Parts: sequence; C-alpha cells; structure tokens
Amino acid sequence: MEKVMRRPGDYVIPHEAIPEVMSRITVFPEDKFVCVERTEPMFTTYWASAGELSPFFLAVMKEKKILGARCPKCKMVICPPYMTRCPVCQNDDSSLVSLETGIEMPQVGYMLGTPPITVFANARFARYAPFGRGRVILGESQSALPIQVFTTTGFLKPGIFKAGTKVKIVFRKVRMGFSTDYFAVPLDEVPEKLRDKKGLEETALKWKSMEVGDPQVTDAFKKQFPKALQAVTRFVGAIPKSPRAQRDVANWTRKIQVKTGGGKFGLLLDKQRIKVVRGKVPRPDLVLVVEDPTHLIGWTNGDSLVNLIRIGGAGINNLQDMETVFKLDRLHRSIRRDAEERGKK
Amino acid sequence: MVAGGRYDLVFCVGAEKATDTYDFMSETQTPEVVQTIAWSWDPLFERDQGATAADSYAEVILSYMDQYPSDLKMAVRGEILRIMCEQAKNNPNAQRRDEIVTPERVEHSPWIIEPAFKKLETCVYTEGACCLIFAAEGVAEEICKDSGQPPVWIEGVGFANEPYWWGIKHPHKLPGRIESDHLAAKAAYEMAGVGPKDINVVELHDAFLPQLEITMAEMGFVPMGHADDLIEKKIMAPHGKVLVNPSGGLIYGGHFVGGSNMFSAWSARRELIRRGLDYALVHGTGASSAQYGGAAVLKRGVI
Repeated sequence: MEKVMRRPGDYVIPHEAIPEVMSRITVFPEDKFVCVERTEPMFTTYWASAGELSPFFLAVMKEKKILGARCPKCKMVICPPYMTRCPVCQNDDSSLVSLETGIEMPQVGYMLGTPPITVFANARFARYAPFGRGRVILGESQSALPIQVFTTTGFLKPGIFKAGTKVKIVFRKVRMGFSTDYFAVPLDEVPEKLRDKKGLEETALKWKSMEVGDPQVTDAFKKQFPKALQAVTRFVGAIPKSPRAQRDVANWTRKIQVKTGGGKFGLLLDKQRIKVVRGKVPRPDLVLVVEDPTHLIGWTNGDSLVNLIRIGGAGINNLQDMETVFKLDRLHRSIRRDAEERGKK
Repeated sequence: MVAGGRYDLVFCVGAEKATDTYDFMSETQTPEVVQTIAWSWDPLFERDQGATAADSYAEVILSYMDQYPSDLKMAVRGEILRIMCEQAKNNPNAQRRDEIVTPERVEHSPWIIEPAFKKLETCVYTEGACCLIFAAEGVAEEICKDSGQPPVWIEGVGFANEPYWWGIKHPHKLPGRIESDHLAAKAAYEMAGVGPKDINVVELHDAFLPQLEITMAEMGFVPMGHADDLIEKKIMAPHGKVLVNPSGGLIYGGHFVGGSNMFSAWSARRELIRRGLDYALVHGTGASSAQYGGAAVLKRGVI
C-alpha cells in the first residue's frame, strides 16, 4: 500500500464552495408572485426556486398546513400538488398548481407501503442513518406525499411503520421551505389529546434518547470474554496481510472503546492497522457496547455489527459514526477474499 | 435507426466513469456515486428526504412484500445469488468473478436498506464500457460470414414508463408492482410472436436481488406472489431450464450505468451462440422507483 500524503487543513473542494442550508422568500415586483428559494447543493452558486409550488411550502412554513389540490373539472384530489394538469381528466387550466382551488389536507393519514429504512446511506445523509422515508395518503388524495418517518421510541426499526399504519404529520420547529419541514410519526405514539391538533410541532412530543448504557456484567460473559478478545486480536492481526482490508480502513483514525458484559478493550484504528489494547481507552472517539462477548466472535466469523446494532444486540454512543461500523463490517469479507486468492495461488 | 431504414449499420457505445466521484467524508467512492445518482429525484418533494436508487427500489420491494408476505424468502434469494455467482465465473468480463457467495454469507451480510435487502444482494456501481453493432438484413449476413459467427436477430422490443408519483390507483405508480417491466416484456413478446415459455436465456437488470424476482414474475416466468417458484418449482437453471443472468448479472458482472444493459445484450448473444439456444430476453430498468422498463427478444440466426 502506498503511503498516503496529505496537507492538513487543505480540501479539494473548499468549504466556502459548499453552501449552507438556507432559504428565502422572494416577491417578484411584476406580478407580486411570492416564491420560496433554497440553496441547492448540486449547483453551489445557485438558489433554486420552488416556483409555482411555492404556495405548498409557504403554507408549511407559515401556517403548518399541508395543501393538496382538487381538479375543478373531475374533482380528483392530489397531495402534493405535483403537476400542472390533472393526471386523470387532463384538464390543463393549471389550477392544480396555482392552488387557486388548493385545499387543506387532514394531518392524519396512513402509510401507502412499508417504508424502507436506509442503513447504508449516501454521503449527504450518512450522518442521519438509519433513517426512514415513505409515502403517506392524506384524506381523499389519490397520490401519496413523500415523507420522512420517525419514531419517538428511539431507534427506527422494522415493524414500527407498515403499509396502512396510521400516522400523524408533525412539523419542525424551524421550517425553511424544504420537504424535511414535516415528517410522520405513528399515530399511536402521539398522546390522544394531540392527535387531532393541527400544526403539531416536534417539541410537543417526548422523544426517547438513544444513549447507550453500560453492559450487564455476568459470570457467563466473563467466561466468554478471553475467547472473544483472542478472536478479535487474531482477526485484526490479519489486516496487514490483506490489501483489501487495509483499503477498508485507509485514512481512518478512531479510538474505539469496546464494552462487553465480560470486560472491556480498545480498538485503535490508525495507519491501516487496528491495534487491540486491554482495558479502558482514554477519550475514545466511539464507544461500542456488545453485551454478549460471543457476538464479537461472530463478527470475526462474518456476522455484521450493523445488523447486531439494528436488532439491539449492540449499541454505539454516536449514531453519526455508523461509517466506522460499516468499515469494521467490511473487514471480514476483505480478509476472506484476499485469503481465498492467496489460496488459489 | 436500423429497423427504420435510415442506416444499415449502427455502432452503439456505452460507457461509465462513475467512481470518479469521491466522498471526502467517508474516504470512499460508493456513497458519493449513490448521491450523484440521487440528484435525479424530485428536487422539491423527495431529494431532501434522502431518496436514493436503493431506498426507492426498496419501496417497490417492500410494497410487493406487503402484498405477498410469504414470497421473496431469504433462502431463495441466497440460492439465486449463489447460482449467479457461479455463472459469473464463466464470464471473462464479470467484475466479481473470484468471489464465493453462499446463502449463509448473504444472510449474514449487513443490511443496506432494512428490511428490503442486504449488502450481498446489491449490484456494484462500477466503471466499464460496451459496444454493440446493429446491422440490417443483408449487411448482417455479410458481417457474419466474415466473422464465422451466426447473427442474432432482434425479434421484438418493448418499452414502458409508469407515472413518477405513487398513489392508490392509476394514473399513479402502484405499490407492489413494476408494471413497466410487465408492459415492456409483453410488447416485446407480442412483436416477436413468442411468450415466456419460449425464452431460454434471460439477461435481467438485477439492481437488487429481490427486484430480480419481482421482474421475473412481471415478465411472466412465475406468477406474481410466487416469485420464489424460480427455485422452489425449479424454473431457473441449473435446477430448471431458464438460464437467468449467465453473465452474473449486474450484481456480479458489475453495474456500469452507461452500458450495463448493453453488457446484458452481449451476454445474451454469447449464450445463444455458445449453447445453441433459440431465444433470449434482455431486460433493463431505470428511473427512481423502477418506473421505466425495456425488453428485447433476441433470436439466434444461421449463417
């Protein structure tokens, strides 16, 4: 592996070229049209207008309302009001978009389908993973409103949202004219007295924190711990023989405190290696709690830490650092593939 | 252009250079490639929420599973992957030729989109290029005589788009369906005068393994809701007769977006000639939630 050289503080894309998330309301003097404009990450020097759909986002921002549109001819309702002509009767008087016949939608609806939970996210959204996004049917609407889904109970897991799950629309406290100004939570997580409330803000709900606690220490876990530590030490010791595994952890530096019900140890990622240290790690970047040490043996045999976190068998203190866990999960396959190739030779 | 009579020889090239986009946060390429593709989602209502190809195809898969909860079993998916992994070894251009994938390894691989599919069920965004030569009758025979290879004729083509927006009834994209695949294959079959029973080779755009199964159902090889029959009723080779993704598909062959389906067509032609088979079906899909489908029926000719 070639040595990686870098100039600290220098970036190929300078920070000043990456726009902050911003929005503004512009009034055009010619026809006094009110328009929402937002910064657009794809074209860093541009403001992108919501154009004719501005009334939808202005209603969200200012009035905490979700607007739909009813075709004046065939009476069909769509939400969001996404096109300029009626998709059913092809009436093209543009009244769907101008929202002259815009209607306020109810703020309780149901999920059109089971929403996917993104665990491995793209660059822009990695720090939010795992997150859910689905579609909700409101009132008479034939179309589904794309929407982020959240649970007040902590970690978003399969089963919380399903096709047909009744949901409540909740609004962000700070609304900037984006489709993330509103989201859905399961109706049964909303206190009964708030279920009919329109314009419900996120601050009105109680959100469970996702802090990781210390593992429960047992004699059985203590007995397993030495075997787990030995397996992990042997496993990460194979990284120097695996170019793929070295690539997996290239340019990545982390001090990870691993806590189990049988004892604790540290994993120090640096210079394309992982060093195992016993006991406490001072000022760790990441804490990984795996109550049952045998799960770590499973990890060295190809089981996924990500999946373990998803089913509650493990936890991390910083969900925004799931990328590190993904890197740890890549190691087994990389080491195995390089070993298989060496075996063929 | 050839069938329309405008040209009698067309040279078609597709290429992809996706991995030039590098994510400086994760120090890897994939997240930024995924992000770049995600720019094509609706900029007002979807993009900011984290929409990507993966989670949108997952919506299709999960809404199918809402309707058919006993289909798309992990054991069947693992077996299809094992078969395609084996088949990729016979494709000199496959990019994941040396990997051994077993149902157990699929089961243990991490979730990408939960509970839709796992890491070993996803295609690999990659780089590559492909070239196809389309020739009119007369010209094709001359080329084939020179090369000593039989021609492969395009007997039928079909393309279909579904509405972008999802909803509860038409004209919206419907949950649980990939109607574009169904309509595209139907049009191609009708033009060729054949049906699924006549097809020997399928080269299918397998963006994600469960979607492969749904598409096989939409194209008529198994009933909707019984896509697992591909393995359980021995439809798919080597257990059955239909050779599915002998190239290894996009999962093992590699998904170079600018030319993947040309790669599929290359493989279909190769298998028809190598194995002396009659008909192949080449499939492509795209758009944010598999709203676009394309299909072509190929027939092996004689010199």
